[in-house]
Amino acid sequence: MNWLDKLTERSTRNIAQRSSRRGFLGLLGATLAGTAGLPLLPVARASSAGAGPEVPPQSTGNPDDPGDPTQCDYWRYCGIDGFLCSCCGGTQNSCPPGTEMSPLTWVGTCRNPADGLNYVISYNDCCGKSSCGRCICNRNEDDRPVYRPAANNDIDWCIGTTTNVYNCSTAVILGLATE
Amino acid sequence: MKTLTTCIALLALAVIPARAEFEPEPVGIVEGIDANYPPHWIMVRDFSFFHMLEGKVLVIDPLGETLGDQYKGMMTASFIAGYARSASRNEMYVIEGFFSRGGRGGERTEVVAIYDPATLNVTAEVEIPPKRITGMPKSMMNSLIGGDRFLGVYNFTPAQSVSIVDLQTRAFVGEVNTPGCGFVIPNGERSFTSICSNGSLLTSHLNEDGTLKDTTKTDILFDPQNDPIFETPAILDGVAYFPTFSGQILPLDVSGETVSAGATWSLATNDEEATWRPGGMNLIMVDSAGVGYVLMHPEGGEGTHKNGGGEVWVYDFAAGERKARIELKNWGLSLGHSGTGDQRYMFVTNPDMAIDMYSLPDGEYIKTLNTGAVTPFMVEGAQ
Amino acid sequence: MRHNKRTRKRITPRIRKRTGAQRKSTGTVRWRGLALLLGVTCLPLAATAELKPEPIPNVEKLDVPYPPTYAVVHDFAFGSLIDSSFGLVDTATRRFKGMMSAGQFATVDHSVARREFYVGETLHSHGSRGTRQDLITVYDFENLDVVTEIKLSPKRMNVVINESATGITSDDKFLLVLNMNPATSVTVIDLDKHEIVSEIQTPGCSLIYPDMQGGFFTLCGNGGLVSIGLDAAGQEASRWSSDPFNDIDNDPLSEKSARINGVWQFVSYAGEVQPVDTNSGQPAFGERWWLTSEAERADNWRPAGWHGKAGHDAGLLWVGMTPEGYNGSHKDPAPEVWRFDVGKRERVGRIALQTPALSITVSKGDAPKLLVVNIAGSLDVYDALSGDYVHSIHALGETPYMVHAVD
Repeated sequence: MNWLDKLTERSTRNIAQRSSRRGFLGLLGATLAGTAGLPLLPVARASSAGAGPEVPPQSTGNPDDPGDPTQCDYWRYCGIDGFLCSCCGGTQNSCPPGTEMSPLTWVGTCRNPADGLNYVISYNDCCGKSSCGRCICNRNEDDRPVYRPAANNDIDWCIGTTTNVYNCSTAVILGLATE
Repeated sequence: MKTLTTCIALLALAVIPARAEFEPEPVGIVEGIDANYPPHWIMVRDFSFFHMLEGKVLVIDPLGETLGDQYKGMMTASFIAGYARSASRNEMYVIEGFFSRGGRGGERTEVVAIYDPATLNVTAEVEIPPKRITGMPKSMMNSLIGGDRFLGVYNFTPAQSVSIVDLQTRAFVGEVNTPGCGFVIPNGERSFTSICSNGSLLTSHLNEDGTLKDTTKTDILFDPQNDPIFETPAILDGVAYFPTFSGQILPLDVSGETVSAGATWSLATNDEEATWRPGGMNLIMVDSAGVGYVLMHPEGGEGTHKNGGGEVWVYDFAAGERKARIELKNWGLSLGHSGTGDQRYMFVTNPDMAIDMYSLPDGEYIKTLNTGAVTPFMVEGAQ
Repeated sequence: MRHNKRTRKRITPRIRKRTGAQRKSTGTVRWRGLALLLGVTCLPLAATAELKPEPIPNVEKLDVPYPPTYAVVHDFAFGSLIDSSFGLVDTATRRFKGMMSAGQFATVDHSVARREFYVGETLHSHGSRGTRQDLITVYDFENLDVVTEIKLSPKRMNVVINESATGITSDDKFLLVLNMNPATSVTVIDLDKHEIVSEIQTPGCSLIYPDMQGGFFTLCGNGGLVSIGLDAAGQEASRWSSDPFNDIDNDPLSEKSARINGVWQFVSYAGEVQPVDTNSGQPAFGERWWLTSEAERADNWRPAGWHGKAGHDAGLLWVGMTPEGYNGSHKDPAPEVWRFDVGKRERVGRIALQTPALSITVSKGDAPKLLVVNIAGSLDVYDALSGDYVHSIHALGETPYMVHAVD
């Protein structure tokens, strides 16, 4: 999508601009302005630009589970919305230390390119620390409006947890989908 | 903090002799605003997605030349807060949540904070159950009901209900259960309607004191799986116009105590436009002159419903007629508007999270506002 | 829960296998062959290893003790002060290991022996308004989870990141927290008991510099210092005031300092070093020396950076430097880091940074790394001795202004 490309370009430009600044206050202004480049991502759709080259690559270590779980185009993330836990101290299916995995969430169906099978993916949020802020990713395949809660990724799914504060999102395999 | 400021101020006064040209200036001045905000002013709702506990509602005069001219003040709005305003009481409401331990949680408190527009101070807080839905904001997550006597707040735990607050007595009335249905769309004298997951609509009718009298439910009016309506309608003359994912409009009569659906019609006007889809956050609106606008993107399909759009299509919603297509200067993610008469404006949140300002209804680009908001997902007129 | 069961049954795709919370769901289980048929379009032949259901919940733990490459990056969150955080990163693998959320103007200290972090924070009951609560929140290394909270009087100093707003005594027994309301004092917390044991008044003086004898000194507005000795119970046992040694009006010593082998290396705004030796008796003032030559000073080289000093017990001091010094440049970003041998009082290295530094620190051990939070908000890792650039860690928050090596 053209505006996502624009974002990447803009972020790069921002860094260049910031690097040339001197005074601390100038820096502060630049840093704050710079963050404005990130937030469009909450609404960014599937794209590797969503997570980007900012984090070191990861692998699941399983050739049957291909792709980089720090990248928005990783196959399990076809319906995810939020900060990828793989970039936050967790993995694609586990929460960062000190957080709590929500028992309730919405589920989607994503196709694994390795075996061509559709898997039911549960997008459990990790809760109890503030926004991780890294690797934001939003893809909306099979997402439906909030009034169909179990098919919606807009909802803060830190529900049934000690606290509703949202930190990041996982994509846990529940099993094969059959239709 | 005040003591400290005073100490430092006194110290400064003591050390620096006041020259003839500059009289020493008093400490402690806090600006006020005229309580009657001009109709072109906007409320910029910064949900602060990266720091949800520090969301803000900014009061902005978009016609100001400089950021200083534009920025009139702000209200804090914690944890994906809701916002509403009563014209008759000239009060603003921020529906927000707090955690006793901030970002790491603790006890959750939810309040309706009542703001005085002249001082931007909290004049009262009404505590409500800590069940308010949080997530990406939608306009109908809270609404004024019964004129502006009551405020309804959508709860999701995941059991769904609506908290009713009496704004006149500033008291929490109670919860109305809306099993299987969500959102608060005001209708009739003192009723509100919720959208149900099976494609029907549930209307809750309130007594004079805000308690539940009874409910009515429609038949299934749309297909929630294959072509769901968006959660956000534009409301004009007692009709709520809901766009669907595929680009239809479902008109819903909300003027009476019970709601009823009119015939659907298509946003597209010819085959070439058939792949255009509505999308974005606040993707549909009606301006003060009753003209309708929908944010549209080409090459739409499964999963593109939050993509925003490169054009805004202009409609006479009542007639089901498209009037014009506005090509946006920048891609748009969310729409807002302000102003009256020939001073009407559209505000489009763009991917850089700046706000592009256009005149209405012609859609001439005017300028881009950089308000300092980090994620201004919603912009609305101050009146 | 019941609601979830209902809705999932009705509208979500059917699940063939379930675990944990989903085990009780009652979706129709079908023969796998059907799924294979449906998914067969571009199916590679080796579809033998179908992915197994994964457990819920599943939360990571960290291996302890930490490797010496861990560091904490402090996101001050200048645009959202009440929601700051500390990110734990592995500077070797560039992996983000987890985070700790904190309130406004937070501090962090840690004890490797106790495997604990101590986060100082100020919270308000209604976010940016309401009743103030100040805390030291104790986290364990293994879970980054709260072990306990120590409630403070609501007067801990609220200041933009300053290393010396807190400190741990050299015997690892007490955490010291600076208060300012605006009277200054130091709260002493017993780290064995996680309890406050005393509050020491420090009128006219502020900031905390632990000495090598289990006490600390604090810098005073008259240009002197006050040294406080603590007894085994954390009570004030002795107090000594120095003569003024810090010319605050003309060329103040920066409060951003580094301790090397028990000697605090203070550096003036203009670039003159004032060592303060805390190894025995009262603090002793070492001979002053200049970081810069007269020619370099004439070229306006000055110390810079938000926190631009770092030390290593090999007798090395790193200082962020700017060639564009002026009255007020002392917090400017530093395009270079200079390395000094404090024994020889001479410069032994000069690193031109990839991106100017805000704050720096240096890890311990034989192969120390120079960690730089730069003005673009990333953490750059350099070999602290050769000055070679190693790599960078990005996406560390809104305003990451400080880094602490956790070693």
